[in-house]
Amino acid sequence: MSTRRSSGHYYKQKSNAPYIIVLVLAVALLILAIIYFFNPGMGDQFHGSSSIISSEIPSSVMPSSSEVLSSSSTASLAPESSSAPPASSISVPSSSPAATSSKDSDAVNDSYFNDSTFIGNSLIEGLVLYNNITVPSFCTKGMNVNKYYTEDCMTLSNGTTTTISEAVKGYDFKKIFIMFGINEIGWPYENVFVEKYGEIVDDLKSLYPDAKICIQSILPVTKTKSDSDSTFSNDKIDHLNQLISDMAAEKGAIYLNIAKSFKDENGALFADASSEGIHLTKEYYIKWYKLLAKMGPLIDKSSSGTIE
Amino acid sequence: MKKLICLLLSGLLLLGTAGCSGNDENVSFNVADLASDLRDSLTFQDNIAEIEPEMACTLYGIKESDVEDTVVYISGGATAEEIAVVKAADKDAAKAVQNALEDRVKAQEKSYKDYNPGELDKLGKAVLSKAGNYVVLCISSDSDAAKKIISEYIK
Repeated sequence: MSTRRSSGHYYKQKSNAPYIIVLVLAVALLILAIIYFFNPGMGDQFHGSSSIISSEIPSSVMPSSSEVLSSSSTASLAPESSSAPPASSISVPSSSPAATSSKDSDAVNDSYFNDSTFIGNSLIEGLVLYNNITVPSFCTKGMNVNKYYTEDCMTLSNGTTTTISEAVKGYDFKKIFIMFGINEIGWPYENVFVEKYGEIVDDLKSLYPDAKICIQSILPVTKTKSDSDSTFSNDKIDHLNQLISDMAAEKGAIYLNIAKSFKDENGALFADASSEGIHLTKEYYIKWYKLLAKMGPLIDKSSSGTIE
Repeated sequence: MKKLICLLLSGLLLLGTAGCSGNDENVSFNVADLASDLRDSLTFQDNIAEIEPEMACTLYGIKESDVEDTVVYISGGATAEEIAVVKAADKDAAKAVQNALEDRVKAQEKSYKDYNPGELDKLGKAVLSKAGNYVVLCISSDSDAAKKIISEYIK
């Protein structure tokens, strides 16, 4: 601080420094405000993991009587031979019962599925989402017959998570549509897959003894996919479907041969039905739903057997 | 001099405060327009397609009463690509929607970590914006282009 002498008195001259500092800060604030003003998205925009607040991951929505469940899982679409259960042997009938064909004219309307549920993998998830299926459903990406019992991918209404095997309890389903298989196609022991699938069917029959258990065939993959990927081959899919069909007959469940309606002249999924060879476009998810509606009347008349 | 500085300071502070409060109160646009703009302008690996608003609310765990209007495009399962444009009912609803979409991204990251790790890059660059009562989520391979498109609607 400077001092001045006037008439014999010494006094300190007040400095303007604090005012200047505050003025500089205010100017800086104004500049920032101007920048923000001309970039309105900045403040509320963030990029994925670098800005997302860390919290519990709500992996799914718990189904209620009017809700669809769709959840996340950490499973893999690729073959998980390392996670396959130990090998065991099972015995299944060698022949499948004759198939009954559905007709367009007999297709049921949406209300037919009001007492239904849909259980399975990401293909079931697509079926549910694109067809606005609002009944409680239990489907995740990468779901397989093993994770059905082991993976906590379903979130209950109280916020806790549980497995599909637990989450499906407590309803009054009359029709249960299941699909597994595409995520197990790389398992080294196919009989293990079929056996575990059979366990799921047994458990569902115990939970819902009056329900029609409808086991859907594995859908084919496109020719491009089948020709380029030794795991996802249509020959393998056809073979597994035969085993699934035999298992359904043994368990007294209905086998829905939906694969037949999705095959082209090469026995492969229609080329325009999928962008990557496995999952369907919206158009084909809708066709699938309509196919199930067409099968409805035959499902009502059947307790077992093959419908296509 | 001091009075002048004080006056100047007050004015600058007022201007600064006004600027920082944002100008998104007047944001208004058609959600379908932005959703289709994003879908048509960006390159998506998958055939993302629209789902019903009711289904979108269920998917995200959002109350239907919180949503005034929404358009959502999702993948059929092959990728994590997604577009969600939501006009919430009010400010509180917009915050709830934003939280729900944040959770969606996190859940997808957990899911795709083993299911299809190649999608994690898109999820890591997910664009999530909120302006006024509007919330926009875009998961694609070109987040910069998505941000640019979104900014044209929320400015």
